Amino acid sequence: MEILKAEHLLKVYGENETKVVAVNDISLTVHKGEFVAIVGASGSGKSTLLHILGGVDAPTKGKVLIDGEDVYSLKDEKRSILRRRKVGFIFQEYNLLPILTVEENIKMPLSLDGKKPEEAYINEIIQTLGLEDRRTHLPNQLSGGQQQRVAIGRALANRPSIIFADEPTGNLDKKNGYEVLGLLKKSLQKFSQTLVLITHDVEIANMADRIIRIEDGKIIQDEVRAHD
Amino acid sequence: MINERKLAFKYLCKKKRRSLSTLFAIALSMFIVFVSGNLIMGAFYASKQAELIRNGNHIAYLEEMNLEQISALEKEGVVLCALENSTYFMGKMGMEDHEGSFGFYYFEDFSNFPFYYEVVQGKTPEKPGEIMINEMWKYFLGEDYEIGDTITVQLTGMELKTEPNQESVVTEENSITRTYTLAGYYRCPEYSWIEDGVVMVKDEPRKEGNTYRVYITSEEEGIEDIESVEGFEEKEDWARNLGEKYGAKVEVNWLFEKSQSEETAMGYCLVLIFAVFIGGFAAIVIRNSFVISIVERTRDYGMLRCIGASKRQIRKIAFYEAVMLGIAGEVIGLIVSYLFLYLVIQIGKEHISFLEEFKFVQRPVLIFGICLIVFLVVLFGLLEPTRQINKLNPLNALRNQKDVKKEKFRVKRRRGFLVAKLFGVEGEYAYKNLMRNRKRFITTTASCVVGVTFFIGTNAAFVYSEQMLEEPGIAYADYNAELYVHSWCMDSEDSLKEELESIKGISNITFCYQEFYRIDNESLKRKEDGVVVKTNYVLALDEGKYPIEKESVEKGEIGELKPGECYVINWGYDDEKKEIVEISDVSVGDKIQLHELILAEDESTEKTISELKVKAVLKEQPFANTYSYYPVLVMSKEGFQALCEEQGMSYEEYGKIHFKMDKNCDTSKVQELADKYGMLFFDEMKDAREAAEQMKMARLVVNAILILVALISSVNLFNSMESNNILREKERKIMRTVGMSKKQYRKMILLEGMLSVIIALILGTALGLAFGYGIYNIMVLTENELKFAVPVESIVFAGVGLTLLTVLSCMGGMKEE
Ligand SMILES: Nc1ncnc2c1ncn2[C@@H]1O[C@H](COP(=O)(O)OP(=O)(O)OP(=O)(O)O)[C@@H](O)[C@H]1O
Ligand SMILES: [Mg+2]
Repeated sequence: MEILKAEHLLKVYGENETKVVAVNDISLTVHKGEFVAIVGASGSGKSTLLHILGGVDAPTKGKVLIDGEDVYSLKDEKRSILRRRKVGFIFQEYNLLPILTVEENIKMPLSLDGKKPEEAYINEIIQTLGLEDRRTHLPNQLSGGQQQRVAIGRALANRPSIIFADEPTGNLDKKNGYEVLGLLKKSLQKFSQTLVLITHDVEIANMADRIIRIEDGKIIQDEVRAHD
Repeated sequence: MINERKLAFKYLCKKKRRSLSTLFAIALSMFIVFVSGNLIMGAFYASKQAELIRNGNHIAYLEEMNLEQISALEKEGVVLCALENSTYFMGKMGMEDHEGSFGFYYFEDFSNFPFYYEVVQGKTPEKPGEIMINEMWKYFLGEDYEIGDTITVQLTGMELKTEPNQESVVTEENSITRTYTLAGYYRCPEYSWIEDGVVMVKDEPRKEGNTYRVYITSEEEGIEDIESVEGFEEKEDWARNLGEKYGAKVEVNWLFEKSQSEETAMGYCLVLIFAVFIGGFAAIVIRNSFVISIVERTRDYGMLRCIGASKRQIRKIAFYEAVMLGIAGEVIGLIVSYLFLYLVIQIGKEHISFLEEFKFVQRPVLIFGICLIVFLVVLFGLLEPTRQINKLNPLNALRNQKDVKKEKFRVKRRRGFLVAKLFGVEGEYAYKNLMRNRKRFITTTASCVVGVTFFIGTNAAFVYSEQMLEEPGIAYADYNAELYVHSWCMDSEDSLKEELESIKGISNITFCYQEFYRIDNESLKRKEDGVVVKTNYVLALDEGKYPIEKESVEKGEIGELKPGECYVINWGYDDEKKEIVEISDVSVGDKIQLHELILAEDESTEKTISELKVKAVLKEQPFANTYSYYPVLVMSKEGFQALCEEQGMSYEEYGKIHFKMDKNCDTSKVQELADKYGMLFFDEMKDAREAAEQMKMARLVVNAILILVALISSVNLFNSMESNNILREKERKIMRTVGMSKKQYRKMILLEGMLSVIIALILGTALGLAFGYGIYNIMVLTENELKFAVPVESIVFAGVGLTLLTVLSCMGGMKEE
């Protein structure tokens, strides 16, 4: 089942001399349950593509369909709703609200929707991520790895159709990075989620079902990997 | 569950400093607007209250009401304050035949008297035939009568009524005499309807056939509370309807006229304008405060947008925050205002006369109106942040690079050089930092300059305006007070002088024995050998000594005046016939013929009396008195005695003591003395003193507003310092790592704040003095002897105050590691 479909995406920054084509005619399809890794050199347009796919940055040209819905044909209000219901984001900088506790941060996408969180599910996430004894802590009382785990929890909280992660382990040391990613993968399987992830780390990319390689805003390789 | 409201609340609680500074700004604006609103409306109501006391509690009066109509009125439930039956007479009163025109007001009942008066001696008339006389007459009658005595009034001329409703012409021939019992003397506040020449008489019970003027009021109306002067329209209509019903002429007390509601509206309008002015100012500060919190939270908001918060939801967070701050700020502002007003009124009552009658204004219109305005101001402050939220691109927000990218580094080396030289390397850095945001630096400095200019300028103006008031009417600075002396105390002349001299702050005591004036505006005509004076005003001076300054001598010489000699003062006046003899027309040596001094009974009997030789012509008016627009002759006591002998009159009858009181003079002592000798005391300085007090008040108010505005502005400074800190967190860390000490860093930040202030103080003082000097030059056109004064205190105050505010806001805005 197609969960994400992108058609001829183009993103141009600037004009004339400073003109940069960050994404150059990219089309791709992601299926439910897939774990896609996007790799490429710095400045190749990975983040730009991810943002366009995630519905936060409109492409200059092209279409993005999430769950069959044309994201950029929606008005801002509707698009926000779509984002909080169907999309989860994880950033390199963990980007938690410093004023909220771990639990509140995780529940936030639901709160924004005015929904009552399903306590059992939230507890499960917290447990899976190993944050039980940190529930009431504020972000600045947590380590980087712990903060990223909270961010993962937040991305999972609204049972999104698809999760986008931009170098989620970029700020963590190797050991912590793998731990976080292990948890992410475990959660994905447990909650049968789809993930599109950007990474520079070959080993992490190798954990994915599919690796898309980008250069100068173009897909130069789309490889589906067979796992054991 | 976390919703927008809770998020907003959390932001408020976690970002304490930001919240507190915004709260402070809101509460302070509330405070300023509420206190000044209360003062404006309080002053307005106080003056209305005073008018109400003066003009009485009646809503209106109906003319020419007969007894039948009156009882019908009473049945209708109309409250009758008084029945009045008045007549005016030209008459003579007392044994010495004190003449004057006086009105007789007949009142049935004094218990619900329609005007305000005080009984100064004796009591209010109770029985028919008892009278109460204005205290002005006490000086004439006091010798002849005591309270309880029977007083004879001879009534002649002028009026038609001698008895209530009995119409007949009373002429000299058929003058009538009435006797009353003197019950007491009363006093009325200034400008009251029942002034000097009025005698109030307890009338006999209602007489059939008489008509009365009936003062009416409605049942709920009372004299006590100004709050009752409301519903003007209804009250006026009510009175007019009654008049129509009874076919009577209605005169509505102006306090209850419809125009009153317009005046009240005007008072509120004034408050509104003021509130909008201060509110506009506060809105800018509050807006900046909100904008900074948006900048602070760009990342947070961006992230929220990424995970699916809509713009509306983010706006809601900002909105709820503003609402909570707004409500809290208003409540705090209100409480502090009330405490402040309470304290000011309690403490200030004894020192500032204006506050004596002051009342809290607890009208919902005022309180809710001001709350609403301040709330609107807060919402207005949200406009720009809302715009920024709408503009917020979630990705840029996350990158948080917006502000850094926007900065344009165009720092020129040379310019920073001076600052560096003055304040060291920290000064250089501070300057460069300021230049990163040139526009803000220039606006801050410019607004400081404007503030300082205004402060110094107005204070300079106030300083020499006060100077001007200290010397009112410089032209007649020798005297500023008069005591009217009557014959019975002239015997004790020496002891009187001694006692007067013993009062501190009194100088230039001069006795004048006689004055005549007759105002018939006959022309002053130059005859071949002299000038004929028909309209005249003659002063005789104590032993010819009249301390005249040399500058005031136009022609001739001053010195001892011999009998037959005189000074001429203020010669030349505008009479109706335009036959004016100018001062330049009279020369030393001219002979002046005085026409008869006493009122001529018959023009034909008028005889010319001795000639006076002009010894000097003076251009200044002799005394700070009001009738000096008539020509004045000054002569010696001996000369005057001779003149009086020739005219067969006594020179002692009236007298006047002129003297000068300085600032420290205790006027109540003079009043005591006047009371002791039965003299009237005229204090020409009274108005000037009141004006000076008002001026002081105005200065206080203007300065207080400026200081409060400066306080609000310091919130702005605090905010920008804090936002700088947040935006430059990394830079600070780098600087600290590289080896900048905490002290150096502080100095740098402080200099960032102080540079604007230093520039503003220098420029603002210069401009303010120029501004003040400009006003001075305009004022100087009329009054010459004022010197331009540099308001040193104000300059020092501005310097110290601004520095203190800056240091405090910089220190407050600086986050410690
Ligand atoms: N807001 C922007 N304005 C102008 N150019 C931009 C903007 N954002 C990205 N770019 C440009 O688009 C290109 C792609 O940027 P992008 O951030 O997608 O790279 P990336 O592949 O994620 O790199 P990295 O691995 O370093 O994160 C870059 O050349 C970048 O300079
Ligand atoms: Mg990137």
